[in-house]
Amino acid sequence: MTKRIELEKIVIDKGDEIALANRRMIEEAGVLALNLIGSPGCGKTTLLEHTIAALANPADGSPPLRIGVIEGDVQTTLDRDRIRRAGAPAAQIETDGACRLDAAMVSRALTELDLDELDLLVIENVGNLICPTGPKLGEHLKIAVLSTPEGDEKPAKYPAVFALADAAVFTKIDLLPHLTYDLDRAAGDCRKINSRIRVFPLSSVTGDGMDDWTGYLRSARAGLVAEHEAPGRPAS
Amino acid sequence: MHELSVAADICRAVAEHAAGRPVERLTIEVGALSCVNPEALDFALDEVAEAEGVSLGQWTIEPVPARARCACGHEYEAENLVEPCPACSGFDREYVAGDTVLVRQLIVVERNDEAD
Ligand SMILES: Nc1nc2c(ncn2[C@@H]2O[C@H](COP(=O)(O)OP(=O)(O)OP(=O)(O)O)[C@@H](O)[C@H]2O)c(=O)[nH]1
Ligand SMILES: [Mg+2]
Ligand SMILES: [Zn+2]
Repeated sequence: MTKRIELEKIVIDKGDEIALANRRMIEEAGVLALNLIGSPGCGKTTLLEHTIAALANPADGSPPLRIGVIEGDVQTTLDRDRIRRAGAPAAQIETDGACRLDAAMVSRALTELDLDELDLLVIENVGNLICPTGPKLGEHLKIAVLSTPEGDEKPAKYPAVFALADAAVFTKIDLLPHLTYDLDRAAGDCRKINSRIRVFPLSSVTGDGMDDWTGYLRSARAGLVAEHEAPGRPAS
Repeated sequence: MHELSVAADICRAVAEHAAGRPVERLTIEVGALSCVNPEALDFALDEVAEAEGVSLGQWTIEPVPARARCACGHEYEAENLVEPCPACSGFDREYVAGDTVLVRQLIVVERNDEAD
């Protein structure tokens, strides 16, 4: 006698469990984690170099924030070295061909960083606007990064990452005079796709728009700390 | 080609859940927001199942569009994410499904006579 049995459905993302463990570990150290997703060359590492400097020496006298970075690239440690030169601890993941990071890779890289010495952890995903969209790494915030030379129709054409992101950073706005790029269209499409998304147009080169971005990071980090310290907070 | 690693995850999960029982059929749902390509996944499953010696039985891959829940209460399949809610023309919505890959159905065969 044989019989057919239907088993329970299975969510396929082995990374989810590891991602949750990563996040718990990161959170216990009071660290806010970001997952930065954008095409090759859109300016992710440059944005980080300038964010590190801006948060280390806030112009408005607010307390400094310490950033640690996990760099994801197909190969080389070039970006890790740039971040170290910018004064922040950094670890490199070389994916050896893989088009995106996963939670297990991040878990291994985390052993190279001392979370107790950090306030923010930024994971710069492999340069790619599509593939890294799905896997959770253990981050609190997913940040889509898009540079103005890529074109203002990119949110409409590659909507998934914008649908799932907490914020979108539009980099290289200093180049706008040289481009036919409609910032309102790009931002408008982002908000159509995701009404809750925060949009930050900025230039790492001129510093335009950087204050709003660093302010966002500061308040997100403060929110996390407050949530953790609030006694008897309701389980959500 | 991240579909290869997704296929490997599926093979591993199915083998684990089937626990030695032959797999008869499998229905896999691929959400539009997961950025997994159904055709590439189909190809990758062939490759990985063979390489790992896992039998997946007969499988079907169903693409699942993103599902949006609008502030107006309407819930719908969002094919084009820059298009508004068909009920109220608004954009204030949440995506409630379509961001995962899952094995919705897994049917295994169990031999009763070997159980005792
Ligand atoms: N004009 C201008 N150029 C910028 C800006 N930000 C970055 N760039 C330039 O864009 C190029 C790529 O910058 P990266 O920061 O290396 O880009 P990335 O996104 O980290 O690239 P990958 O790690 O390879 O994906 C460099 O030549 C930067 O100098 C900006 O705000 N304005
Ligand atoms: Mg980089
Ligand atoms: Zn509606």
